[in-house]
Amino acid sequence: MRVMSGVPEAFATGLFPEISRYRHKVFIEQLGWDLDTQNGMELDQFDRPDTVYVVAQDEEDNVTGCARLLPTTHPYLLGDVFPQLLNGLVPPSSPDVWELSRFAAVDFSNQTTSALSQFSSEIAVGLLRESIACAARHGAKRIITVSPLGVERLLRKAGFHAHRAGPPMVIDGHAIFACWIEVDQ
Amino acid sequence: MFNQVNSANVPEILFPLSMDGYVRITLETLKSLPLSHLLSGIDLDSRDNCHAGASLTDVSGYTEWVTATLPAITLGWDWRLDTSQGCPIFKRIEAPRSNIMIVDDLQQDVCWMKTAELLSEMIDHFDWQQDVCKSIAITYT
Repeated sequence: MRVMSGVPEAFATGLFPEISRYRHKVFIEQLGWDLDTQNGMELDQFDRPDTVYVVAQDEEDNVTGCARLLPTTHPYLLGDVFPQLLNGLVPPSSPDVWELSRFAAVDFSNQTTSALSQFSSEIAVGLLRESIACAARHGAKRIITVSPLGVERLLRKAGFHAHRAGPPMVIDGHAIFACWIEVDQ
Repeated sequence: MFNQVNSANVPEILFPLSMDGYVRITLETLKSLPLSHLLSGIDLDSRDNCHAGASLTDVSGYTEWVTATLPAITLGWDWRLDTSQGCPIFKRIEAPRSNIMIVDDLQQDVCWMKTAELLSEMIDHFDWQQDVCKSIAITYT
């Protein structure tokens, strides 16, 4: 597995559209989330030129995982769309706090993984570690994430200290929650 | 031991919500709060194993509970079906996940590891199995 990170402009031509198509396959086609799409790509208002992405690829350059990192000093998913997951807390806005979202680790060339069981794979653990390290390189001391419940198990498996920001909520038929992750400096 | 919710008219109780997202609360106060079942599920892998003819000992899942307080307290844990005593029973496995930080009488954190230990003990003395069983039956049949 090869993992790289950066803003869209930093990636080789064609990789960012490939990430967007991969997200469409995972979140729209497999998980059935009701998200905005554009020509087979899953993109929303938080996919900006300054958004940081972490992407995993296999030896044939197929995307096998991705994650999105947003500073909380700019608009971000939890603060703008799901503030109710914060249990009454005002959404954070600090250069020390980054948001992790759109985390996926489904290897479509490997039939043993699926979107529903993706969080137990080695790709998921490696991608999560690299995502948190990437956020730390951008100044994050804490990460807030809005994710499916399965991410909690992944965080524990990967050895991270995390705790919930509030109770899970079932939104559009999917149980999601917000979670704080401590970043070791 | 936790009390279970029997009435829809549970008074809201205010607790301070820390900026780090934790609800800081003493063990005694926590034990006095009614918890209600939010959702439960079977792990996908074990569900697939069931279809493949695996034994009940391979069945595991998760359950989520919440208080009616503001801010809400959330507590979730994983379970597996234990058949070692003959009749299958649900048993908690691994530490629970929550937004709780237990504090002592001086309002000092007991640390997250000790909190997890205390929460685990409480769950093991809490009658949660019936609600999980009912929820699973409704969801998967």
